[in-house]
Amino acid sequence: MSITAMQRSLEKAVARASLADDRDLAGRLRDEGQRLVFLLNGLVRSSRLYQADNAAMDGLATETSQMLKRLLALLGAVHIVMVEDQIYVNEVRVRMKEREQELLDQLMLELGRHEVGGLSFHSPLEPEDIKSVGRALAATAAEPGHARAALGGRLSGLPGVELGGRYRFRLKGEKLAVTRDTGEILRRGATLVQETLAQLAGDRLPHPLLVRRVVIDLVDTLGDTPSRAAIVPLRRSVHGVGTQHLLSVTTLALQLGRAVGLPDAALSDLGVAAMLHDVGYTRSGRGGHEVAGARMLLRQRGFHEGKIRRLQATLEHHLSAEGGPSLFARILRIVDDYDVLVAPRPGAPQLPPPTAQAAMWAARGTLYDPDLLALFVRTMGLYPPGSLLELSDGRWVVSLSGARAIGHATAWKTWTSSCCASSCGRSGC
Amino acid sequence: MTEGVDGSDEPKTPFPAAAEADTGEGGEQKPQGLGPRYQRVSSLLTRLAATARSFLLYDAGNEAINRFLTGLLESLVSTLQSEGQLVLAVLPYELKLDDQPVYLNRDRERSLAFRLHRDGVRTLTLRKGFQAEELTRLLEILSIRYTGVNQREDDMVTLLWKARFEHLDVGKVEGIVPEGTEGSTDEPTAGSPGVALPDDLDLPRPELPPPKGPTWIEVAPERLQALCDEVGEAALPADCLALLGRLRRELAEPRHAMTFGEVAHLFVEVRDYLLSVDRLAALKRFGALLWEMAGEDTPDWDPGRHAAVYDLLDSCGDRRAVRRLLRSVPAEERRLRPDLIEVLDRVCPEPLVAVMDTLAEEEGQATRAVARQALEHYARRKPGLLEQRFLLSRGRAAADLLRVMMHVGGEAAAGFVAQQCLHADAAVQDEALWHLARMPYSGALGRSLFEAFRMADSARRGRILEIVARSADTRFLAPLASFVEERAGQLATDEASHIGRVLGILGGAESISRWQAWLQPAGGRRKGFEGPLARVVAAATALAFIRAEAAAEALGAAFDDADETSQPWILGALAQRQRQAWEAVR
Repeated sequence: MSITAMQRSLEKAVARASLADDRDLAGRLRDEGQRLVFLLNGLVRSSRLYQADNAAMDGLATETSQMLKRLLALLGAVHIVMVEDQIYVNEVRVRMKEREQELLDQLMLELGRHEVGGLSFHSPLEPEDIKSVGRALAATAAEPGHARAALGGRLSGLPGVELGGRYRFRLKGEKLAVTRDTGEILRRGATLVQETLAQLAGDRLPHPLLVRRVVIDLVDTLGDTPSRAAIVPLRRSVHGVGTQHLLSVTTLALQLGRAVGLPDAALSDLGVAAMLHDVGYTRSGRGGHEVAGARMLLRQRGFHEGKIRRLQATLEHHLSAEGGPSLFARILRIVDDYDVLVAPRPGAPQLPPPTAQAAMWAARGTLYDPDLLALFVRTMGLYPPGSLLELSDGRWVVSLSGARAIGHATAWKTWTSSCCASSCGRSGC
Repeated sequence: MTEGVDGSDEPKTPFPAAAEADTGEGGEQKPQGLGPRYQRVSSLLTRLAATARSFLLYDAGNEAINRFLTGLLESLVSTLQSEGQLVLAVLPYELKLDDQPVYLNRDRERSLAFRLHRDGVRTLTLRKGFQAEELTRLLEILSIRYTGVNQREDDMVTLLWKARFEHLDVGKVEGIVPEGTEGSTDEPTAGSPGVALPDDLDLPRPELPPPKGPTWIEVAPERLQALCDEVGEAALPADCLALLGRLRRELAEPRHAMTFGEVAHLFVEVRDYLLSVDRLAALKRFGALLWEMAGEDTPDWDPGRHAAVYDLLDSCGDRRAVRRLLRSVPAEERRLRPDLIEVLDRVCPEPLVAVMDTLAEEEGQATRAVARQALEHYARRKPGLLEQRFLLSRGRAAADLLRVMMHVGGEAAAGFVAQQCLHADAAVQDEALWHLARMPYSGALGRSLFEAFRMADSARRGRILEIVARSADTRFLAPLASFVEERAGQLATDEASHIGRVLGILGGAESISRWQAWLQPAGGRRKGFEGPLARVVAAATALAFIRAEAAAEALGAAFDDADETSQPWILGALAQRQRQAWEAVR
């Protein structure tokens, strides 16, 4: 690679990256972020001096409310984060002149009393709500170790306000991440899914980066043990049906994406899309969850190809292949339906994996993309994990591994008839 | 957290020499007391950090960046050659090799260590074999993380993972926030109620045809490639438009009662993306989509939609958008494409004004060239507007407009352009002279030239003289000669020689006596001529360019009377004649 080619490549990469931001936005953010910090500081101090209905509070609260509304329109969510002696508003450091640093220090002190290092606003607040925030921050802090929780309790009526912990550098005691087994990653994924759903349901901005970190770990581990992905839908999860569904769709989608030969960057986008594809259910109940989900995900600002394809997948994952949905949506349609067919659901009979696969195969080319479904079958095997089979010698076996590849024998577990029946609960098995 | 945000929208500045130094122009401090081995690594890391920063500040195509990259690559390869591998521990502000600090920068906005540490990177292991391609990928990642207001998709760890380095291992810690948090993270925070998806999600199960046993089918490699291409970079513009089209349909659904405000930012993001990646066909479709949306009825649940769509349409033709659009033409191409005009027509209510506004701020030569061509296209309809703007403009912007006027107006604009030789702005004078040198000569042009000659500085007088020499208009002879006589005391010899050449060309043999008079010997026993040196130089040069033998004789005679200062000029004139004679023979 020549140096000139390096320069060209770098130039393009930086131009691409800058799409997520722009200079005007950063400038406005710096100015208005600084003003917001001043206003919040003034609000806390005034709350100690004046009653809430005092006119002196009205102007301050109204201006803060308007400022917040403007910033939310720009950014989707406003994050004020304190690191050591500096304040950042959505990644942009608020610059203070020397004489203004005192105001910044005051606000940090106020938040620090409550063991709070960050304050996020996810939705606009009326002036009265702003006053409540001011009063809560001005109030006496609870005892150490409980202060943040206590403040959180005081602000519980304002779901759009989120408190963050204090930041400091940790120099010791960190453990480097090492390769874990799929189960551990899935457990972490389940927790994250639940947190993400709660965030989104609370009208907060999606944070795909957290999800992406888990997806990346999944991609790494599933690559080593492909059959693990195929097993996931059959597991019962303590985290609930919905969470299990998202995890199993994610693992199967990654498996299918890998079979397609997608590069890692696209795989991670696919995994994030799979993890978030049904978030609309937290809003819509039944029907219309695709649009409801897209509306939640749409709140995220900044251009990223992952976001574009995630939105497409969320909106289109129940479309038939004939309708021309995006690749991610076509992948999700297959793995989503497969999981729905084979996974245990309260009150709904599940299909044996080979039957589910055969039923889907019958809709190959109409509901399902023919090439992707063929790859899915190759990935799962003709007898996907969980398939119960009777051998010619009368024994029953259950398939444990998915893919059938040259040099790889399908893994089986042999059961006696009674053992199997007690295990799978299916009569006549 | 990032202070600096990419300024790719803005003109990049030249790469300063200081940035090439490895002594911490970006806040890097040189750790003290290092041995040669550590010093070498320290220098390498400082260069790496400086290079990553430089792409946000300077034009990446810069020659100096080329040198800087070359130096960095050589240094990296040779270090890895001798070290085998470099295992660097990442601390908040430092990088350590064998527990020895080799990089230190406490400036959070500039520190390479801070950015790595913040995202959870704790060790970097560079191994032998790390070459240009991997260095490029690493620099891309480091540069990208120097930008960011809305970066919620990737961090250093995910970007490094995506890059799949062969000769770089990354040790990371869990989570995206490397800084430890005080207090339990399990504490509930305001407004985070537990939420679960319903147990019956996606039920009832899909209705499918009777099962039909699957068969083992190979998917052809070209089909696999086609699937992969669907998520390639080339497919992204189409995906963006497909998504917007889909959202448009959802916006029309009364049961969703979705407002345009919910999606407006996505439209803007897609617009900016399309503007930046040279996707004119996609941009046209984007414009068409907006116009179609603007023509739709405003639904009851979203009374502000019509106005919002029009606002967006307007913003597609704003200065920033037009600038991006013009910049989308590759620098090496510099040509206005018909597609670009179509897009401008679609998105700009007043494309001529929008392009003129853009031109006023644009620094890049290639973009300015495209902008001028666009103006030529639009100004044919409204030439008056161009002239008005020219009169209000200064410097390079005015010069650009003058060029457009010349191209649009042709012969008719010649007089106006000629007058601009007298413009107060040097850039405009230069532009005007450039055109005058190339347009057919006329009396009007001659008058303008002469006026300009009297007003201009010596550099521009030289350019005017060239035009005059080519014009062969003998009417210039007298005023030029007067000019020399009037200003002989102040004229530099170079300029006098230049004027002399034109005097000789225009005057021919009939003017020999006049130049001879300028070489009139001083009276008495004094050696030398009567007039100042500049007049002597002009006369000698004029005689050098007159073919008649009498001119040579006049020079020969003058040489005898010349003093030491004048003699070289007369000798030079004689030599010039000789050279011309030889060239004529050849």
